[in-house]
Amino acid sequence: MANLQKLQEKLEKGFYLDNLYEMAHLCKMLASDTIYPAAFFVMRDIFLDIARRWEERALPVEEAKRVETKMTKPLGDLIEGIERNASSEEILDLLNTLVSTYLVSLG
Amino acid sequence: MAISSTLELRVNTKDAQKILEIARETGALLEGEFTLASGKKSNHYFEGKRLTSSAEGAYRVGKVIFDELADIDVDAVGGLAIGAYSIATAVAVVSHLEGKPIPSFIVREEPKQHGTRKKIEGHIKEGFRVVIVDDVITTGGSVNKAIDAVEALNCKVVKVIVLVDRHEGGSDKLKEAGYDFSSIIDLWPTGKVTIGKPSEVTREVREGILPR
Repeated sequence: MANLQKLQEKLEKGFYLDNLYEMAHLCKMLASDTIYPAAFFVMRDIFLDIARRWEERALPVEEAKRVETKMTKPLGDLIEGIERNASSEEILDLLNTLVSTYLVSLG
Repeated sequence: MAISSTLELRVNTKDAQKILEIARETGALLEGEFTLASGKKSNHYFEGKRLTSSAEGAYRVGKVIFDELADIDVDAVGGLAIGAYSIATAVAVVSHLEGKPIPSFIVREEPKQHGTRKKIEGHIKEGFRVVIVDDVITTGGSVNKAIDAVEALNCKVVKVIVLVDRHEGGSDKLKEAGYDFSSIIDLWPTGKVTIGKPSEVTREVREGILPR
C-alpha cells in the first residue's frame, strides 16, 4: 500500500494545517482499500478535528508541538499494526489508545 | 530595450504606520512563535479579517489603497474570497466618499455549484483594468488564483496590493512576472517588521511598452 507509506512519511513531517489535511485525505483513500476501514476513518476524523481547531487562528509553536508529541506515537503504533496485519483485537486496542490519547490531548 | 526608469510609488508611510498600530491593537498582528499552515515557523501571526473588521482599520486600509491608486486608471478592485472581500469593499466605499468610485468584485475559490456557476462576483467585465488585493501574500497562491481568474476574462491587472507581505517568495515571483506590486506591512523571515516599501515595477512594463 503506497498510500500507507505516504501516510507514515507525512506523520514524520509533523503536525501543521496543510499536512493534517493531506493526512486526512490519504486516510479517506486508505479506508476504502483496506481490511481496517474503521481505523483509517478514525484517524481521518482526528486529523480533520485538529485541523479545524487550528484553522483561522494563531497557533503557538508550543501548542502544535504538544499535540504532535502526544499523538505521534499512538498514530505510529496503529499504522505499524495495520502494516503487519495485526489481529482485529490488537487493532481495536491500538484504536482505543489513540482515541483516549487524543481526548486527553485536547485538554 | 534597456529598462531605465523605476517607478517610485510608495505606500504613505504615516498611514501604513497607523494601520500597523491598529493591527497590533486589534490583535490582527501578534508577536510570538507560531506554526503556520505550511509548517513554517514565524515570529508573527497576521489575520487580516481582524484588522478590516474594525471600523477604523477598514477605513484606513481602504484609504491607503485608494490613495495608492490615485495616478492609475482603474475600473475595479477585488481578489480571492475571503481574504480580499473586506479590503475590496473598503476601497470601494472610500472611493465613493472621495468622488472617484471604484467598484469591487470577488473571485470565488471554487465556482458556484448551482445557478450561474460564476467564478467572479461583482462589478467586473471583459477588458477592465483591475487591481488585485489580498490580506497576506506568502508563496502567492491566493493572489495568483485571482490574477488567473481576471486574466481569463481578458482583464488587465494594473496593480497588486496586499496588507502583509511575508517575503516567502510570492511577491518576488509577481515582480519577476512584471506585476506592479506593493504591500502595506512587511514581515521578514528574520522577524523584522517594516512598512510602506516602494513598488519595483518599471514604467515600461506598467505602460505596456515591455511585455510582462
